[in-house]
Amino acid sequence: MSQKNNKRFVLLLGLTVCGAFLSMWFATGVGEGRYRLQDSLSLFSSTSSLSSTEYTILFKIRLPRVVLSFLVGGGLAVCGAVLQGIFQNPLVDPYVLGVSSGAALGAVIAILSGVYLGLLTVPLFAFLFATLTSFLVLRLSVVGKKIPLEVLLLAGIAVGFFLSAFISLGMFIAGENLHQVVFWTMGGFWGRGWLEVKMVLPFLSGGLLVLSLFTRELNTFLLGEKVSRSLGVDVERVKKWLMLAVSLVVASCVSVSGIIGFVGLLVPHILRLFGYQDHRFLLPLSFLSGGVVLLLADTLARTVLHPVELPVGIVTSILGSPFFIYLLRKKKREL
Amino acid sequence: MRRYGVLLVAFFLFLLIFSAGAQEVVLQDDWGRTVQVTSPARRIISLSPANTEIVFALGLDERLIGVTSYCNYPPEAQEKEKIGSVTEINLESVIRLEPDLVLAGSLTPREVVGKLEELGLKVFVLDAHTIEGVLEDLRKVAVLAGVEDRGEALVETLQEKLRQVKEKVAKLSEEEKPNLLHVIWHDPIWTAGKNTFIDEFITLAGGKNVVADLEGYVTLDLEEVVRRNPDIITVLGTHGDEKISYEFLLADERLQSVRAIQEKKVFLVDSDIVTRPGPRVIEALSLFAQILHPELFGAYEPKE
Repeated sequence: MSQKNNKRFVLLLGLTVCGAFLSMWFATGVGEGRYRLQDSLSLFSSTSSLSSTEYTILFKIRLPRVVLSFLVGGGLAVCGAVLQGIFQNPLVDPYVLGVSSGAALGAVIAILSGVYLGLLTVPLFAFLFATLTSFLVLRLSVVGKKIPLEVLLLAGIAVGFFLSAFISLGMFIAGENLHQVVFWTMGGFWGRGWLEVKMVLPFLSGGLLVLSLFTRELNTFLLGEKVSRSLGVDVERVKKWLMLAVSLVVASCVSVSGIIGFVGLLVPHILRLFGYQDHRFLLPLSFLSGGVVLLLADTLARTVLHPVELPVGIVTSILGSPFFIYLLRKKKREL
Repeated sequence: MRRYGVLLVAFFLFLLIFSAGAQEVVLQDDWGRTVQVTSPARRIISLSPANTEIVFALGLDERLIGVTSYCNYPPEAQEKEKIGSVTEINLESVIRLEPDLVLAGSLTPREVVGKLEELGLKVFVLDAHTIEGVLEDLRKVAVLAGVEDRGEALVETLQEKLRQVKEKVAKLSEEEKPNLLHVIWHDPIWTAGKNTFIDEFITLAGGKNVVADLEGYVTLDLEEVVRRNPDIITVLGTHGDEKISYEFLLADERLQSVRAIQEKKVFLVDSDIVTRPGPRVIEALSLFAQILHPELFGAYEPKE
C-alpha cells in the first residue's frame, strides 16, 4: 500500500513541479495587461536581440517578481501546513506567532520615521520586528520546559493586539502619510526585484530544510502528543525547532510582501481535503501549490486593471475564499 | 407695560445700529450646498491647511480664530488655536470658539459638516478640483467676509501670473513638451493621472503627463515606468525633508534606463505647495513650469 502511495506521490510531485515551472514561464510572458508568447520565449533564447528597456522590464522587473511571489506563496503555505500540524488545528495560519503585526509595526516605524538605510530599509525593519515578535511570543509561552499550545495561541493573540495598537497609533499620527502604511499592510509585490529575492532566499531555504527534517515527527503529532511521546519523539524539542524555522520563514516572507492572507491558511487545508495528510507529501505539495497560487494571483493583480496595480492580498482573498467555501461544502457532503 | 415698549424700541434700535453693513449672503459651496451666511463673517474657523492659506491671503488673519494642527503656512497660522487635525475635528473646540463661519475642506468628513450644521453653525465647503475653482473659492470667501475688493485684487494678480505662464507655453510645439511622471510614493509607484491638480499643473506648464490615460490617483506597474520612459520625474516630498521615494528612484538599479534618471532630472517638490487647493496653486504651477522649461522660466530651486 505504502509502495503504491509513494508511486502516486512521485507522479503527483513531478506533475506539480512541471506545473510550477510552467506557470512561472507563463507568468513571465504576462505584461502590459496581456500575454505575449515572445516574452516567455525570450527567457530561453539569446537576450541580445532585446532592447535594453525590454531587457530591464523582463529580467529585472518581471522575472524577479514572478520568482519572489512563488517563493513567498510556497513559504507561507508550508508554514501554514506545519503550524496546523503542530497545533492539530485547521484554523491556524502562519501569522499566529504575531509575525504579521510585528512586521507591520517594523514597516510603520521605518516608513514614518523616514529612516533611509538603502533600498531594503523597510523590509529589514519589518523582518527584524517580525522575528523579535515571534521569539517574544515563543518565550512567553514557555511553561516549565513545555510550550503548551493554548498558551502559545493566546500569547500570539495578546502580543498581536498590543502591537496592533501601536500600528493604529502610528497610522493615526501619520495623517497625510497614511497611504504609505496602508499600501504596505495590504500586501503586494509591487516593485519587488532580485534584491528582495536575495533577502528571502537564505531564510526560506534554511527554514524549509529544517522543516523537511521533521516530517516524520509531524506525522506522529496527527495521533496526539501523548502518542508521539510514547513513540519516542522529543515533542518539546521538535516543536521548538519547528517554530523557530517557521518564524524565520514567515518573517522573511512578510517583510517583502506585506500581509497576504488565504495562502498560508487555505492551501494546506485544501490539500488535506484531497487526502494528503502525510507531511512527507503535504509539505512539498504545499510549497509548490502555494507558490503557484500566489504567483497566479499576483499575475492577475498586475493585469486586471493594467497599468494600475492591485494589492495581491485582495486578489487572494476574493478568489480564494469562495473557492474554499465551495470545496468545504462539497467535501462535507461526501462525508 | 410702557416700560416694556421703550425697551422693545431700544432693542430694535440696537439691532439696527449693530447690523448696519451686515447683510445676508446666499452662496453655493463646492459640494453644491446652498449656504446662507451673515456677511461680513468675523469669527472664522478653517478646517484645512488650504483654507487657512486662503484666509491669510485675503488679509483676514485677525478674524481667523481656529485652525487645524496641519495648518503650517504662513508660519503665523501655527500660533492660532487648534481645533483638531484635518480628519479628526474636535467638535467641542469648534463650538467653544463660537465661530460665525466654518470653512470646511475636501477632506473634512461629511458627518462633521452635518453635525456642525445641526449645532447651528454656518459651514461652507471649499473643495476645488481645478486652479479656476480655487480662484473661485478665493472670491467666495472674500464675499463671505465682506472684502470683495480685496478678493478681486488677489484673484487678478494670480490670474495675471497664470496668463504669463500660459503665454510662454503657448509658443511651444508638441515636441518641445517633455513627458513628466509625478511620483507621490514609490512603494508601490503612486502617481497622479487625469483630473488631478498635478495633471493640470503639468499640462498648463508645458509638459505631458505620462499617465494621462489614467484617471485620478493610481498605483502604477514599475514596468510601465521603464516603458513610458519619462523625461522628467517629480517626487513629492513632505516639507522637503522626507526623501525616501526620491532616494529610491535614484538608487534603484532597474530604473537606470529611464531617461529622467540618466539625465538626473528628478526633482523633489514640496507637498505643501503642490497638493493644497489654496492661493499657492499658482506657485505650484510656476514650480512645474521651472522644472519643465528652465529656459523659459528660470531654474527650479527647491526651498530648503
